[in-house]
Amino acid sequence: MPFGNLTYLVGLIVALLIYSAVGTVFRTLYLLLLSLGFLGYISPESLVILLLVSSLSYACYSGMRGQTNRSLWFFLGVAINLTGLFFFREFSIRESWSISSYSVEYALIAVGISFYSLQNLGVLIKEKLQPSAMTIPFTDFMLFSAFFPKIISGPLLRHENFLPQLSPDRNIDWVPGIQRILFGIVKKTVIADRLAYLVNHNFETVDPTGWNNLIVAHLFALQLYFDFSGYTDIALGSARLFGFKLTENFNFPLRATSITEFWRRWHISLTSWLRDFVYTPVAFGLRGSVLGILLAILITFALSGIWHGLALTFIIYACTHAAYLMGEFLLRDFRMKIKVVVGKSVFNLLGWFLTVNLVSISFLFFRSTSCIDALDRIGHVFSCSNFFPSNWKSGFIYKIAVGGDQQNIFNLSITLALTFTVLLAEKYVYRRLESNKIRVGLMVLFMVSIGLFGVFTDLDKFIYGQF
Amino acid sequence: MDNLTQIEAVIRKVFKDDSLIIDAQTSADDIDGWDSLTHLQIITEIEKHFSVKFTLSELLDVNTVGDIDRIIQQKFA
Repeated sequence: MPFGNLTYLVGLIVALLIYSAVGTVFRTLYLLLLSLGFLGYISPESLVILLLVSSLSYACYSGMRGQTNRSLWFFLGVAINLTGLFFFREFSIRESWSISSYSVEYALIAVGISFYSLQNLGVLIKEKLQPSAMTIPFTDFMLFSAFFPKIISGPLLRHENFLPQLSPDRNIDWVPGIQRILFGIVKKTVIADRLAYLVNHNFETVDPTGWNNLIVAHLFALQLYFDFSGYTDIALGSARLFGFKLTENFNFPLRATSITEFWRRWHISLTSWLRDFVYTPVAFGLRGSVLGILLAILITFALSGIWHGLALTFIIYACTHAAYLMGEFLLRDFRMKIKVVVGKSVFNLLGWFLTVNLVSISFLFFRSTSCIDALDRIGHVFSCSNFFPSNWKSGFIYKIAVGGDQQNIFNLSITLALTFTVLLAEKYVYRRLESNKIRVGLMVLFMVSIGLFGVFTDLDKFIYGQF
Repeated sequence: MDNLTQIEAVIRKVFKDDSLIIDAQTSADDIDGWDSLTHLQIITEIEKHFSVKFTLSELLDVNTVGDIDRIIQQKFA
């Protein structure tokens, strides 16, 4: 998909030049046409499906604004979006797909439907629970659905955050926008795709040692984070160029000290949507018992798994996290006692160690092409015998480096050094990129890194592009 | 005892921590361990304590302790 590559960047600059020339009154209409054009360029049939699903959703929303049959219009709107989501994503169950080659074959998949259908549902649910005094205009609603920077893989927008930004006096934020896009390209080309090379090769066969499987799981966790957050940076930077501040999707999730905290920091836009529109209503309906909360967690995560795709691997991945969260919830008092005994710093360090390992192991389900493959790897990780390789050089380093040549070892060292440097420095970098000041040093560093270490073969292929 | 003091007592009970200082601006971000799981427990305990029932719409409006106080006041108005 043309996202983040040279075609996209050139198109973005041209679109922005026209945008700055268009009168402020017509900017919303211009952005809507631009977004529809972008989607139509990627996939004409996806454009037709978006126009159909979102127009019908708007008709239901308008129906709800009337005084009669509010519930009927609401349920009709919900049915339209769920049908669209199921039919144009899940019904066309993958015949073959693999993350390693990024080849996804579907009968008919509507690009972006996983995101805009949930957005539409959010509008309808909010209107049902808390009718607003203001009616959303049709063009605003359609732009909210189709807005091009987020159409492929989010972030999932909330109308209460997005629509107030459609004011005519919106400024073009060149500097923070371009800086954020560049950092996203660094994350994607310099980190994620270098890691992808190692991960893909090491996922071809299951290693007999637990240690290797654990390290590969960690490498994939890093790859997924940098791939998805790199994509998000490009999306947020693109929106920022046009003056929009979209929802942040990540808040340094790999620094989380518990699974609960991890889910407050990872894929925030989807997690908060599920929390508000699935978990809270279910848990609220079943409140008063611990069992009700546990059931709400399970339902929420099971739906999250299904949202990723009708594959057992995704459902088990999500249910594993539900189990983690239930465990944390039930052991809360015990964890607090440990915290008092060992002190906050040691407790947080232990919590971080446990969290990154549990999360990385769960990602084996996310990455593996079958549950059997994932279980095989996890079985090795928890196997007491044969955990460490008998020969560290040939049994570990040469395998992880995809060969024992000097060049392979050098590439591995560079990839790991770059990964951990960005991981440690990203908080500092984000703070500086946010301001309107041009960060010349950082920009030069980004461009030199991309030029020297970047991998460009899969620049426009993002892991979350398949969802 | 005003509502805020009573809400503070309920939140202290849920977190088993008598040192917590709560005011109208306090939110989940201010208290370690206040997540969506404990949030429901707090609301349930508040409902029991004040003998009121929150609606889902009211619950979605709760961002701070001040919001809880406002909703309770509306119920007794």
